[in-house]
Amino acid sequence: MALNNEQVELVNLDELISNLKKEDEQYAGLSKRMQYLYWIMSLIFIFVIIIQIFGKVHVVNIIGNICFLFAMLIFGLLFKYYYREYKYVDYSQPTLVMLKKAAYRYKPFQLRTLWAVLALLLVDAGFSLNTTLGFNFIWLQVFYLGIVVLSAIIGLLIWRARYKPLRDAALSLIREIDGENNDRGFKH
Amino acid sequence: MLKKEEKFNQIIAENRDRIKRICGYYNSNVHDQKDMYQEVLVNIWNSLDNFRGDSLINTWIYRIAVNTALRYTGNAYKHMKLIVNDDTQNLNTVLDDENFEDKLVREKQMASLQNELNLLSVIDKALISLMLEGLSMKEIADVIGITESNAKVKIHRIKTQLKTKLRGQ
Repeated sequence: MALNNEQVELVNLDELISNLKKEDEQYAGLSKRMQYLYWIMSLIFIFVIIIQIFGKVHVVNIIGNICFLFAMLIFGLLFKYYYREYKYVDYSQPTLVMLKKAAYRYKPFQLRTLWAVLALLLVDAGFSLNTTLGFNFIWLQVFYLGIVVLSAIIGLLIWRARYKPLRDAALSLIREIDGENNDRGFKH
Repeated sequence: MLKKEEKFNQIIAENRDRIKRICGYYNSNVHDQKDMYQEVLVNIWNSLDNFRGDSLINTWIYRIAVNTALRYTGNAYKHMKLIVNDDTQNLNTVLDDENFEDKLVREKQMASLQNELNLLSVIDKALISLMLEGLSMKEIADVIGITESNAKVKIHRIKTQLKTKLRGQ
């Protein structure tokens, strides 16, 4: 039995639109705030680097802060370009295109992952080179890289439980549309 | 230029029945249909900024509805149903037989057809639902993202399989 008009009216359009608009505003607000945070951090590092250059600070410390600066810029750009992609899926694309994008989105290692790895290595270099922070190099590597590896393992476990089934389902549908399963039209 | 809210309201007003029918194809109970209907509306809203008018509005709506159906059924998508009944339009086109619907009712084969449709793969169900909506091969191809000839081959195969199954009963 299909929905009748009365039942459709139960979906309160005004309330739905109001919630959607609120969500749009929240998304735009959060996105802006996060971007501002990265840009402000970048400006602070630029300011610190300029002061250090004129303050005759050792060049290694300045390089350390330049590493932090580039890491902030990479994180900021990654956030700017990919937050919306993960937040909203465009359902108006052809099914095959949408599925291919979903399969790519749920891939654990992508080209863009390399940018995040580069940013993490720059942060590590920043901590290591900046002697004013006073960290022991060996302990810093053990602690920092330990956290990064542990986070990666936790991320992979979450991916395996939550996103791998979605990726497998998308890949299976892609194969079906592409015709590899044509000889199995009926699934008895 | 229309504001997003006005554009959204206009699209929903013009396509309400179309969306309702699609929800009806994929869900047998009214509660699930209503949930899917609401999810389609949300996805229309979220995709509205990307609508550039490159495709026809109805093709655009069908894309969102079919893609939502695939996503809506989530991990249970393999169990996605395709529901038809005496009220379903264009049933005759499924087997290219003008008297098909009458025969089905007369020979009480509606349940068999329903059963066979539910044995189809997920994408085949989506293709049939678009056929029932009366879309041309080109429009179906545009919704799914395949070539027109590929759509024709797939639909021909589904029809042949359905005919064989129903005649064999």
